[in-house]
Amino acid sequence: MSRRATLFPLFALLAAAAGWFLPLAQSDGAGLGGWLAPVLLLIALVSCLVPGLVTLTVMVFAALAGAWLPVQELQGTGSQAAGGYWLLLWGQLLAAVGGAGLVSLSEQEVEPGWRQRLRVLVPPAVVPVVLLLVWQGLVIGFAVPKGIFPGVHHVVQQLQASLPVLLNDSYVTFVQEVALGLLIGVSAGFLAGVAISFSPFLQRGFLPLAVAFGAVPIVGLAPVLGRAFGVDWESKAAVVVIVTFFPVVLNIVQGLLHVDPLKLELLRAYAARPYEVFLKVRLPNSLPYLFNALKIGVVVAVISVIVAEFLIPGPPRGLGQRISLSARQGAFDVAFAAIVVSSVFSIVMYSVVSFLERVSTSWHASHRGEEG
Amino acid sequence: MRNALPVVLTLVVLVLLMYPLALLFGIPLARRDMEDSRKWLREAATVQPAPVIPADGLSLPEAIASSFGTEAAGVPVMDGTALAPDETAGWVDWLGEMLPEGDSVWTLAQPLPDSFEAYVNEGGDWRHLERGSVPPALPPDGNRVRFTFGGAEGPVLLDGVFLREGEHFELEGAAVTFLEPPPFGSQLLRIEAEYEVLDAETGTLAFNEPTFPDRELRVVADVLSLAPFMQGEVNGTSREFAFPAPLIIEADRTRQVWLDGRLLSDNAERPAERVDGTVRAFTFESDRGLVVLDGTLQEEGRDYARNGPEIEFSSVPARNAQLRQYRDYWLSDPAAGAVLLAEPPAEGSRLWTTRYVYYLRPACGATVLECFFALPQHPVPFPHWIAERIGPFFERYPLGDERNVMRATLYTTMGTVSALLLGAALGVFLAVLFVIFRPLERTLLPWAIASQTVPIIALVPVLLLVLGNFGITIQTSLLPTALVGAYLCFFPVVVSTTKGLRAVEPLVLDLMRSYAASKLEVFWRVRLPAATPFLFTGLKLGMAAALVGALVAETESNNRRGLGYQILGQVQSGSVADVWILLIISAVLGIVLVGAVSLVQRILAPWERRA
Repeated sequence: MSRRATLFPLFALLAAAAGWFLPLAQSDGAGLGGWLAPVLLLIALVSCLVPGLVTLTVMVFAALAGAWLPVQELQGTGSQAAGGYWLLLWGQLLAAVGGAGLVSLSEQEVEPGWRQRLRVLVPPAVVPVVLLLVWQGLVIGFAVPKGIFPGVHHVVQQLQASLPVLLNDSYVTFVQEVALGLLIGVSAGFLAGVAISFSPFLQRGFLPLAVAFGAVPIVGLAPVLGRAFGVDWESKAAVVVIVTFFPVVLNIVQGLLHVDPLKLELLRAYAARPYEVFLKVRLPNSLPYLFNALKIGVVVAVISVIVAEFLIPGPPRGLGQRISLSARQGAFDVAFAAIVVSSVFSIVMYSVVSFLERVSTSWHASHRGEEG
Repeated sequence: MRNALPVVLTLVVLVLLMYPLALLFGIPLARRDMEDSRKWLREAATVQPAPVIPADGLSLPEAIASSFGTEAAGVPVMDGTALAPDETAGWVDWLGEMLPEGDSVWTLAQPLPDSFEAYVNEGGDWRHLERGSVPPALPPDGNRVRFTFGGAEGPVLLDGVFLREGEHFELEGAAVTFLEPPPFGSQLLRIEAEYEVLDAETGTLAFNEPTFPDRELRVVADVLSLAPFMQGEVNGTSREFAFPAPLIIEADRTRQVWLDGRLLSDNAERPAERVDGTVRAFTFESDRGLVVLDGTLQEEGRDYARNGPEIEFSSVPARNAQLRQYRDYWLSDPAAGAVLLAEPPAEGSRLWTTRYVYYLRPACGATVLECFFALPQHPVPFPHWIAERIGPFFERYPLGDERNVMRATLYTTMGTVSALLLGAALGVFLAVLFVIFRPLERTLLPWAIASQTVPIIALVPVLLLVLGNFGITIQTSLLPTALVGAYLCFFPVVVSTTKGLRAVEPLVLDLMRSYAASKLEVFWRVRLPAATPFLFTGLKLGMAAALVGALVAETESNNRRGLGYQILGQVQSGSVADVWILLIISAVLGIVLVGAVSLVQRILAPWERRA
């Protein structure tokens, strides 16, 4: 690692250090007091002067902690920020980002070990912390009222306060609507895909339509489905069914048909019956495609369900309804808390599908490639 | 041509599938409409006015026979009270003659009383005219334009104005579609019988028939009428009787039952004490009557003992049980129209009713199929209804109006394309960064994936508000739409472009290296051409996502522009066929936009066609 590269975080830290002597808030001239801020700055500066993987990591986290201090200090006063605040915040955030970049660029070590893991894990971990600090720093710095845009702390408070309500909403949205809809949509898509794979006519007639349906904004159907199934959760589950159906059909058909001809010839040589060919070659071959469709399906289903809850106002249950209701009332902290909860659940769902995929298709080339 | 045939056939099958689907989804709704008693027509059965006004000077039995026929049974009444058998004059209390005012509108030129009857002169005899009209299945809400009126097919009246087809509304089978939505709270009626009151203040009536040329129309304040007997035998012991019609409305306060000229009270007396689960003795207003506890008749002597207005139960009634006393009679079974009298009427006395209200039939029609066709909103309409609506839908607003469909489509197209440009620029930029600077991909790609599971689309209202604070509103700028669409469409572009930029054959890279090509040259001459098919795949996926984003952003805005706003507006105003037209338009728009990406691909990257 060249010494020149560490100049960028160094200068950023020096600018932040200058901010320590400047006033923090516009209401009074006092700077950031306390001993923690100079200690953290000192740690960061020292580690920056001794570049290395470990010291840079220490620098990154010291800078992040240091950037949090002025935000925390100003939060109670309710005043707008002055120069010292901005210098401390941006200086240390830039230093952290630069440090994380240097960590990921540090020498390519061959032997996998904790140093390698540090190099791989630190930069992605820094991204959300920086984003949250930027959000909170801006909201606090400009003293944005809660009704216009909430700070992170408002969202966290609201998350604690209304977690039972939000979990109840999540049950409606994720269990009744997404999970049930996915189950029905994927099963229907699977059956339709199998049927299509057996019929050349449908392949020529239905597949182009299914591809075209990919370009159709199916969420527009939501109001119509609301008429058909009622405004409660059933209509939103129906949206999920339709949204997941087409990707599953397309992927399953592709998986069932795009089989290595060699395998088919081998089975023919063994005088395998058609159902044996289907069960032993075509079906396993379609598994990775199915999981691909499932991963797309989970993401699309969550977005569609939230939109559907917007478009079909029903009984006030479900995260989408919660978000749109509270946003309309100006309670953005509730809206953000609901978004956090729904993101957590959808990431969990996505991870579960990925995990199942890894377990059940570990034999597939795409995974072998990663390991080898 | 050979390729198109299966597609067309499948499409036709899908369209035909909409017929059973329409029935599948519509019939449960129709059945629900039929079973909901709130959506039933109510009929107030009053005394039956003389179908023909008899000549003056006849005795009462003669007058009844000449007007109602010799078989008629009932109590002759006038103005609610029974007539004495020896009354001979004054069967009619004429209000006055009506004058024609328009094609189907006649006026008395003076206020009409609460109850009156209209008669037309038919060759010397005055024939009674039936009054009757039906309200719409759903009331006007200021937004809805399409209404159904059960089986009624007469003229449409709105707040005392006689509406004309073509001028104010269009007929579509049984449904009436207004050109302007009737205001919230306005009274909308469609004549079912011969006439309906247009304006009681000026005494104006609207008739179902275009006109009664050369005829005399008169209205009467009252006329000889027959009040029907209560069904049941008056033998001095029986207490059970029934109204002539079943499905009597219990809560109706205008019900009148008479016993020999005395109006029976249907007042439900409440006890003076609270039924709190401990009290056993209760006091009522009157000292006799039927005691009913939670809808079950209590028997004196067995269930309770009476001491004047005070009764004492043998067992304590449960807390909050409903305890009532009916002095004269109790409507024991409204569905059957059955009443129970407190005391049996003496032999030879007459028991009759002058007024009761009952459920006539479902407002939507007599059969499920009729109700299905009368549904104000079909979840899935028949395809030919959609086809019929296309013409009027496109002509509904002139090109100058922002609500014109073509303009809305254009607006949405602009929003989608700008979203795609923004999202694609971001996506390609990130992909290039990822390829040049590999650690960045490791750092940012997990979060790009996570960003797609965050339903940021839910933040559209917040985003619109925040941008509004900076003076950027969806009214004046495409930026909010573009941002929402870009968020949804950048991801497929990033993923496929990154994949494409990496999908370079190592041999080609080696060759470039042997030519001592610079990094820029490798990028420009090898990586970029290799990435184009992937880039365009990403762009096609992104275009579809951008359209969804644009539509959603439009539904959340209130600027009356774009297809998204129209879809929501049509749903609220109740024209589902229009929603389907809009859906088809957006589907075609999606396919056309994706096709446009393919076209650009062919022009910009013609070499791929050979591959």
